Amino acid sequence: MGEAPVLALIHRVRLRIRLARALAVAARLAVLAAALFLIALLLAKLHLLPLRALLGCGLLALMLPLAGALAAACRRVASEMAAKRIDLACGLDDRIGSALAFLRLQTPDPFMRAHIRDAARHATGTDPRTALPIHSPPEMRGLAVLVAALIALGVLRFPERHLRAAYLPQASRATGSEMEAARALARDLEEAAHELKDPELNDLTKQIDALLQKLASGDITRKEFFEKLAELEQRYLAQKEGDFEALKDKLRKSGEALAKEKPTRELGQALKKDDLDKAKRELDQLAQQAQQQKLDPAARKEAARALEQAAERQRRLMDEEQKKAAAQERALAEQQRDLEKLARENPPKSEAEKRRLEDQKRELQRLQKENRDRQAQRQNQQRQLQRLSRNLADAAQQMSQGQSGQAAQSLQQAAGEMSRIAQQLQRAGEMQRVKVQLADLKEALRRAGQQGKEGRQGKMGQFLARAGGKPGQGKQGEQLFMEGEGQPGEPQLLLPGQGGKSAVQLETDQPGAQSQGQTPERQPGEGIGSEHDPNLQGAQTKLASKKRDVSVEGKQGAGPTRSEVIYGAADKGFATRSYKRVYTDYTQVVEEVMSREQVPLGMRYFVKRYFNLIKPRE
Amino acid sequence: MSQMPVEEVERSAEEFRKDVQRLREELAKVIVGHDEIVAAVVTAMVTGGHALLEGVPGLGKTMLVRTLAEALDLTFSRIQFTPDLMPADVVGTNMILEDDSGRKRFEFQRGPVFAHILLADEINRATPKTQSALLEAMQEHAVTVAKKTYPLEEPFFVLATQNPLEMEGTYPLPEAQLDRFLFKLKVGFPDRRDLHEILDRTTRSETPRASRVLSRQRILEMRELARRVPAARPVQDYAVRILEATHPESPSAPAITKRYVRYGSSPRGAQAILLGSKVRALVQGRYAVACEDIRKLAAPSLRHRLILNFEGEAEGIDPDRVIFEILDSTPEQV
Repeated sequence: MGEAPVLALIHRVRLRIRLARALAVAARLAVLAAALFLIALLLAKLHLLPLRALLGCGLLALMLPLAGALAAACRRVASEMAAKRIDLACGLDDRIGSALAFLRLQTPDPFMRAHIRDAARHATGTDPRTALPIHSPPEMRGLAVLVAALIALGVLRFPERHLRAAYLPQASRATGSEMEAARALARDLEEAAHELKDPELNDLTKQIDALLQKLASGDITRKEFFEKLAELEQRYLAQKEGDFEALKDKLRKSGEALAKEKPTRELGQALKKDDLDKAKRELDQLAQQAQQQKLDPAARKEAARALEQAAERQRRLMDEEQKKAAAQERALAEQQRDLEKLARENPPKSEAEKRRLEDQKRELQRLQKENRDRQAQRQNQQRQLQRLSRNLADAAQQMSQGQSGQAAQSLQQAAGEMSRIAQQLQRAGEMQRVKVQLADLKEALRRAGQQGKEGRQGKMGQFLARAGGKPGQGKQGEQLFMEGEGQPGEPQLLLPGQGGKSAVQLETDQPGAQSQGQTPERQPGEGIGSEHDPNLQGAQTKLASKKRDVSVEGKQGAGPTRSEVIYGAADKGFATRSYKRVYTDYTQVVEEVMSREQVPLGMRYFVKRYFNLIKPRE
Repeated sequence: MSQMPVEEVERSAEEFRKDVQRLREELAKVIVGHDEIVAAVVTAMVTGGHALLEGVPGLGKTMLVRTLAEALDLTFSRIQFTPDLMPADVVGTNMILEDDSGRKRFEFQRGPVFAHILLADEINRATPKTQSALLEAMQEHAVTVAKKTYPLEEPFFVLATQNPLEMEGTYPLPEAQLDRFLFKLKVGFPDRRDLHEILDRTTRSETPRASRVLSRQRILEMRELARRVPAARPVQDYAVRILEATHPESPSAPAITKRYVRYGSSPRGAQAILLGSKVRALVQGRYAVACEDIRKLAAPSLRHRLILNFEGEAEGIDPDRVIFEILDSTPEQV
């Protein structure tokens, strides 16, 4: 019948259809696989994907197109479809398709056989490549781009340490801006050490600096850092701490006694205000008066009485304190005995009870130790107070006995004692400041560990750059700056309503032009109104008004106000002399408030952090 | 199966192609241009169908039919349809005749319908009663007068013409009668080259005439051969799907059908497509129908079988546009 060429042609075209399908699917999947592998490679380069996973991804990327191509090639291709493709591509007018249909009939008639023969003649001269040309899939271009990107990424090298730090969100190293804050606090501490001329504090700051460097370089962990810092802090504060408030309280009460009499009134007032330096000066002055016998008998008598009462009050307060401490000691000892007795009578049965008992014992021991430490710390103060009290008592007695020279000597000794107490108190205040700074430092480092967001860090960096007064950073209100008196060449902000005048004013020739859109002023009535304002939309804009922009020169005056300085700093950076003055004033107030008020530690951190950020830059 | 029938088929098909080619060449001596119309008329004649030619006067419709009759060894009649034309004027009538012995008898006087080729000129000018007289002749190839049926000699081929412009005083053909025409052919205006040719041929002293090239018997053989051309089921299915798509309620109907068509084609439409395709396949030198044949014959076979709805009529939608969109939206292979 001669159908063989027809069937052979259809078979070859079916194979080509499978091949074309496989190529198309493979190309599509290869693009997908290449894109996925590109992502995987990027993650691997950033050390976010282990090498094994990358190899797995590579294998998957290879397998994906192959599997897709295989699946596409295995899909059934209908002979009718292949025949139709041949007919369409070669312009055979359905010869092959019809021949195939006739071949499937059991008894084709002569016309059908003639047709099959005709189709076979045409099939013999037909090239399957013409019937189904296989073109390069359109995805190949995209695939080539992706492969090029893969090669480029494969060749590219990323700095390892930097990326680790940048991309690991919970890295042990502290991050940028908070670390900067911690360093700033450490610098404050160093300044404090320098001011106080405290060698121990100086050592402490050096050790903290070294620790910070180790933490920043990753040589020690955060945990180790905090442990070492706590150790340093404890060691330092153990030498310095004491109950200075109790000491001040006693001095204040003795001051009350002294303030009652005229010759010692100033001395008493100074003590009441915790101004021990002035108290020392008053004592010196009193001693001088006594020495020069400038006090009349009545005054001498009054001073002796006041000094006597002050000494007596100090002694009484010390006695009370001793009794109180002894009572505390006794109470703690009694509690300990009760606890031991309880443990003996009702021995703990469960592990939980044992633990609870142990906890209670430990707590008791801690309280006892604290009490003893406090007693030890107080002993020094007690001795100083006793000496002061004794000096005052001696002076009182000597004055009353008319021994002015000896009284003056006793008063001078009291003044010396007062000076030492004042120094101690001053140091205690500074110690408090050091304690707060250490707490702030720890808080900053704690937050540095929690922080990891690059965006915030970037914003902080921008803020710090702007705070440094970099040129071109100011955006708003630049046209509002004009020359101030105090700082030639330095732009200052003039705010409306503060004596300043807007740098640019609108001048009009028509008086009415300034009040356009404004309704006439009316007195508000009672109750709810029934109508709306007749001038609801305002007057029509008078476009005919002649106007021109006029620049006005700055005028001589007192210079910018404090608020102007602050606004100017917000816009132009914190690098002006006026701002430094304002900042110093504000920080002093802040320090006072922070020491006086019970500011929670977390909030204290934010206040400190804020003032650190707006600190004047050099 | 022996090789003989196949070779016989091939030889017959080749002769068929040559005969048709000869006929078309002969027609081309007189008719200038209108190749598609000529091909369609020949196709309709070979398949045994009738054709309706639509076109403005003077385009050569009558000339085409007359030339066809001249080229074939067939009898030819022409009826000019007018409003007063009676059915008897078409089919004939019984008349009283007196013989030599003086006896009178009824004798059927055959009308112009008794011819092989009948030209029904301006068919839409006759009344429906007269138009319907042609129905039986077209469908049954016979006429009945006074309860007596007179068969028409084969081949019987009606070529009707109608003028689409002068609609006043006309009686549009009813759908049933339109359906009896195998093809409706639109005779268009000739182009400039053809016009020159027409002028050259018709203004000389000698008027070209066609010679007889095909006998009546040969035409009947050709008709028989054309009907033996097979159509593969996928190809025939294509014709069926096209026909289905002309029906607005069909799921395969395109949007234009659903919007503008009230009734789709009857199965006679698919028959016309397939029969015409068979002839075209043979003429093209093939032994089976191709989808291309179906596409080519779709418009002449279906355009008079689509009944547009009001919206289609109001918007002046051409049925050819609907058919071409159907062809565009119907894939050759499912």
